[in-house]
Amino acid sequence: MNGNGGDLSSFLTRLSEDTQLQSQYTSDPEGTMRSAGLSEDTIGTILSRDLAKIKALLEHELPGGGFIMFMIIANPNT
Amino acid sequence: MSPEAAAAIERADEVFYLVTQPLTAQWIERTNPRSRSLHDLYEPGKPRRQTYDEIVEALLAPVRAGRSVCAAFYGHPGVFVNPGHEAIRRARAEGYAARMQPAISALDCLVADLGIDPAETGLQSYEATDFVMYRRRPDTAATLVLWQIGVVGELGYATEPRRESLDLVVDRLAAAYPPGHEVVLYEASPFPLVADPFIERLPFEELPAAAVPLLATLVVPPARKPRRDRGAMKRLGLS
Repeated sequence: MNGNGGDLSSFLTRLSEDTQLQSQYTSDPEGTMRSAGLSEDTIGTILSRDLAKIKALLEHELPGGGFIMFMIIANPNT
Repeated sequence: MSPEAAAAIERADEVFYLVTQPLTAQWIERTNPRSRSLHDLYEPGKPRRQTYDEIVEALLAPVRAGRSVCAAFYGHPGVFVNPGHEAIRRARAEGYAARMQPAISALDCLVADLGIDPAETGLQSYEATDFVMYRRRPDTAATLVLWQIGVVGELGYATEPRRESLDLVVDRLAAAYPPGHEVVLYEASPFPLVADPFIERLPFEELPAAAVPLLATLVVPPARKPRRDRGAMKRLGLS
């Protein structure tokens, strides 16, 4: 962990797979993130539970993943 | 993701994916190193139909070469995923076994997050551009779901919300719903343990000024109770 928020993605991946970590996070989110070495800024953003802010943080950490496409099925020619 | 879908990704000879979250892409590539993104097939200005055809061809080429292929799309692979259906249709037509695994769409998430039971109100759903373009007439006694409200009129691909057409949505809703009727802007959380879904309730007239997220869905609750058909009730033995 580098302490600058660069490990949020691996923390969230572990959290999605590790049921023990999930229980720990549910009872003490702040302490669990601190033990994982996340930065204060990252912890603050996650504690806000704000979807847009958390997604922005992840996209900053894993650039190039924010591309969005739409499978729009409306067809103006029919 | 269901265990069956995860297993299909893991055991395929080749995996192709289209996802919105970098974490999801990372997970897929870790689960099966023979994975690659289909994002490159999207280009500004390229006709959508051409992109779809290229996706289908990208999926079928290795199938024809005797390899097992898994395609992973965000949400449900059959909900708003034209190439998902087309690839299966074409593979079967060419004599290959193909199957779609069900998954969780935005509709499933909003049912849970907003506490909407389709059994209570009924449910109608349209793609937002389709709703406007074909002058769909909503049943105001049932819940209405408009998908892709963040990109009304966008027929290619988008990286930013497109709000300039929301006036048209408001006009269509105004023709059916009473003034000030409350609607819900909704975006599911891909990380429910750490992030809340985006939920904003507002009168529908305020949509053009709202911060509509790119991936938002609009939910219009019923504005009235349905009318009973007493004749039908009598025939059903319910009166």
